[in-house]
Amino acid sequence: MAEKSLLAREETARYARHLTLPEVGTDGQVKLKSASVLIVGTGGLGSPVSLYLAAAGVGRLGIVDFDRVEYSNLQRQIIHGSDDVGRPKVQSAAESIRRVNPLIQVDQHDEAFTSSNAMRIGAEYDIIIDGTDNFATRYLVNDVCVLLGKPNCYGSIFRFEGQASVFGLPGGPCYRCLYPKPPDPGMIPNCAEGGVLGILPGIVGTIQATEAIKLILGIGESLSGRLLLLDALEMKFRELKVSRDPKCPVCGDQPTITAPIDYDQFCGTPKQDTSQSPWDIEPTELKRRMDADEPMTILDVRQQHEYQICNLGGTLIPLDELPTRTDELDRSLPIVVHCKMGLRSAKAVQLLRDAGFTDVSNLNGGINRWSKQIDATVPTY
Amino acid sequence: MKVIIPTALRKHTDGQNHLCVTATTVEDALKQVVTTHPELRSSLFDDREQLVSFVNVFVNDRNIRDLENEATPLTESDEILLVPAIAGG
Repeated sequence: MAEKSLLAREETARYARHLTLPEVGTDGQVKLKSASVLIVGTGGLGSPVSLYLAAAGVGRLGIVDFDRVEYSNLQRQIIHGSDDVGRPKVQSAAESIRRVNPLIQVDQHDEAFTSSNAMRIGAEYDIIIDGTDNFATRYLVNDVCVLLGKPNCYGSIFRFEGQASVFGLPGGPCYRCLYPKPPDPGMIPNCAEGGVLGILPGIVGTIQATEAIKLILGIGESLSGRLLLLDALEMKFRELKVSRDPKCPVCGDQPTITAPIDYDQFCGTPKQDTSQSPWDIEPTELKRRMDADEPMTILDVRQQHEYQICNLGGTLIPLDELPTRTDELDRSLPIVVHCKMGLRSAKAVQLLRDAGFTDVSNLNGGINRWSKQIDATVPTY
Repeated sequence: MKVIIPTALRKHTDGQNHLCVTATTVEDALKQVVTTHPELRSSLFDDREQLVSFVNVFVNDRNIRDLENEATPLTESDEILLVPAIAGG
C-alpha cells in the first residue's frame, strides 16, 4: 500500500514552488503546516506578515488587535480595504487571510495585547511577531517571548526608516538588551505624529515574515544578534551587531523580571484619567451604576454620525443643540454626559449645571475610554 | 568622520542626515555634535550627562557598549551611527 502523502492534493498544487525548492520541499512544507505564529498588531507590519505567512502555508496564524480599521490606515495596511473601515481589524484581516489561503487556521484575538492576557495567548504559538505601534506593547511582546522561550521576529518603522531583528533565541539578545529603557513619552514621535512612508512596513514586514519562515524550517542565518537598519530614502541597509546583555533584567543571568509588568508605567505612558471636569466619573463607576440598574439619564452630546459609529444607548442631544433642548431632560434623574473623549461632555456638564441641573457628571475619557476599559466591542474612532 | 543622524533626530540638525566631525573618541565626537547642534543634547544625554539608553551609538557595526563606551577610540574612516528606538508599526 502506498504511504499516505503528507500533503493533500490541493496543498501540493498550492505550494508547488516551495516543494521544488530543495531547502523547503515536502518536509519543510509539512513543518510550515504544523507551525503556529502569533502576529501582534494587524497594522502596517502585521498586514504583509499575515498575508505572506498565510500564502506560505503556515498552518495556524493568531492575530491580535483591539482596533478598528480607519481610513488613515489604508495607505499602508494592505490587509484591510476601503469597505472595512469601522470594522474590527482582526475580522477584516481574517477575511483577507482566508481569501489568500482557506487551508489554514486563523485565530482572531479581538482584544488589546496586555500584561493580563499576553502570556496566555502567546503560549499557544511557536513564534511571535512584533507588529505593534508603541513602546509599551513592544516591551510586553519582548518580555513575554523571553519568559515563554519563544522567538520574537521584531520589526519597527518610522518615517523612512525601519529596523528588523530576531530576539529571544537561545543565547541571543532580547529587545531590552538593545534598548534597556524606552524614551520619555513625546521624545520620539510616533507614526501618527511623524508620518510613515506607506511602503516601508511592506519591506520591514516581509523581512519579519522571512525570518519566521526560516526559523520554522530551520534554514539559513537568523537575524538574531544582528539589527538590520533600513533607510528607504537612501535605499541603504546597514547591519549592526547586537549582543546579549548578561545584566538584562529579563533575559540576563539573574533576571528580575519574571512575569509581565505594568508597561504603561514603565514607558511613562500618560494615563487618560486626567481630570476633564470637576464632576468627572470614571468608566468603572458608570459601569457599576448601569449594572446596578440605578435610575439615570445617559446623555450623549456627540453628533448624529458619531452616534451611528458607536453609542452607549444614551439620549442623543449634540452639544450645539443642548442650550435649546434642556427641557427634554428629566431634572429629577442623575445625568451622566459623555462624548468621544470627554471634552465636549465636560462643557455640556457645565452648561447643564449653569441651567440649574444639580446631579450631572462627566464620563471621563468619553466613549473611547469606555471602549478601552469596559467594553472592547464598542468601536473607537 | 561622519556621524549618521537618524530620521527621528534630523529635526535637530536642520534635516541633515549626517554631520562631519574630527574626533579621537566617541565622547569627543558626540560633544562636537551637541555643541554645533545644541538641540540634539536632550535626545542624547540625560540630566547627569549620561548617554540616554534609548539611543544606541554604534561605531561602524559595533555598539559602543560592547567596545569602550564613550572612550571608544575613533579613526578617520569610522562611521558613527545614532540609532534611537522607534516604535511604529
